[in-house]
Amino acid sequence: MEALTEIFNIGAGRAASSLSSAVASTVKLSVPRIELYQIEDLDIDALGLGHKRLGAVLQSYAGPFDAQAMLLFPEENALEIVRDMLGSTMSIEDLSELEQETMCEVGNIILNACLSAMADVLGVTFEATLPSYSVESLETLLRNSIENPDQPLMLVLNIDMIIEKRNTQGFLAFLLSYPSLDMLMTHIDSFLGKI
Amino acid sequence: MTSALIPGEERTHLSKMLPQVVNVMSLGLILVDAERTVLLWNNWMRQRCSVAVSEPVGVNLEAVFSDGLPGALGIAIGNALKYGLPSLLSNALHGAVLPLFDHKKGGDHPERIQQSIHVLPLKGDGGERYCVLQISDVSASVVRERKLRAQAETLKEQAFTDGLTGLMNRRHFDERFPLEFRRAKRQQSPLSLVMLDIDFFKAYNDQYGHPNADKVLITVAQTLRATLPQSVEVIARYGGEEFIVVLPDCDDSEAGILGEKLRAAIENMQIPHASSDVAGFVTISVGLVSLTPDAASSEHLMLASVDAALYIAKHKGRNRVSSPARP
Repeated sequence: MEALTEIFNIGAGRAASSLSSAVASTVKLSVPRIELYQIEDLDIDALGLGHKRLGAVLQSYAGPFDAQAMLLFPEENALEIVRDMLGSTMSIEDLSELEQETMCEVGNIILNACLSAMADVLGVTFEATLPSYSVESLETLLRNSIENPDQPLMLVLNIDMIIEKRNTQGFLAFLLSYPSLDMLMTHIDSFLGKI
Repeated sequence: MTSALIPGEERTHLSKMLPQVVNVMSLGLILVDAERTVLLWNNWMRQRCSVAVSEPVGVNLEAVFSDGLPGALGIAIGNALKYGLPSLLSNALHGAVLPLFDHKKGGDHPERIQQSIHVLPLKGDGGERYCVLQISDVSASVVRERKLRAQAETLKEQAFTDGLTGLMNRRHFDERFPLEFRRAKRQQSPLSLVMLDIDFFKAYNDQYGHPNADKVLITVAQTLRATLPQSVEVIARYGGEEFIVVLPDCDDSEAGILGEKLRAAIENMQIPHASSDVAGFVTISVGLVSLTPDAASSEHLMLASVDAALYIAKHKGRNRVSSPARP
């Protein structure tokens, strides 16, 4: 887990520099904590997201291990991001086509940075779908995402994002199968073995 | 992968048709190889993109544009070629990334096209990487959103403004007053409320007609606004000929002075009003109430008592200021 946290922090650093140049202001990102849950045991309250609606950017990855990635921001945090980046005052349901596209890009930057860091460190490659954006409760998101019950695990990264001194918390969740987790762990072990 | 499933003859046919397909599409398509050499540049791009070379195909993408490759696009292409990761360059964050112009608009100075770009990784049969750029023209959406946003702003303003006088309307007052009341309660500061009404306005309306009555309402509104200190934000048309003012941090004696000032200002306008029983010109009756909100007070009670104060001013002969403190 420590190795993973480190990998994701490398990704967070890359994402922050891309985001900073995209929005022309300072963006800082860090991943202070990673946790692994069984989805069926997942206590949604444990994430501190309550049963609120979330802004979610979704992307699927295939490679040495398959994962469905979800970048989640509580409704008001997603709004803050759009507001800070675009100076928009829309409510989250009313996010226009172009604003949704922006949320997708923000999510895409963060997800790609994490995945590319993983690719560099572990020497693996992925294929991925383009991001999509939706606003749902976590329950609904999980229900929709788990098309195959083969992905009963959720790797949750807590993300701290600071845009122009304003602090926003979000989560990056990877839905994984047991074989995928095993593969991930094998790759990490072999990476650790090399150092 | 898909092409492997197509029988030989049809595959040949398909590969003949593909360049045409690519060229009739109404979006920009660029294909580059792992060295970023351009392999495909479709007609849509040829018609819109200003390039530094006579033929983009065969040239490194970096060299195609006179200002080089925009940074964010370079990173996205790198992610596709190195890691196989797709990216999205949204219009809101990147605007018109590439030098694309709509020659139908803007005459000699064609408009730059607002874009949204997808950067998609591809893998060749031998595992070599390619990257497709798919460029959409979102100019129409950008214009539409800008318009919708401006309209939303206007509607919001209209919804809160009295169309005739330009003061706040009742709805805006109903929203603001509780906020001011709560603030005064929190800070334990005095708050005054002034309600005023044009005397014998119905008679004025009957004698001088609707358009003139409207003019009086406008003049009274302007005079009230001009007489009140700039710091007073909440002044609203409360009803037909009724106005209401919130005076934050203002106690009973200050409110009394201001109320009298408002009354005198209207009287001094000397607007003729032949059917007024109190004067030959337009006057107002003023009710006011001041308090420092405590647990027992509420905004509803305060509104009721200012209404009562106005009634007393009317009852006592109009063209005067009345308050519960100085009946």
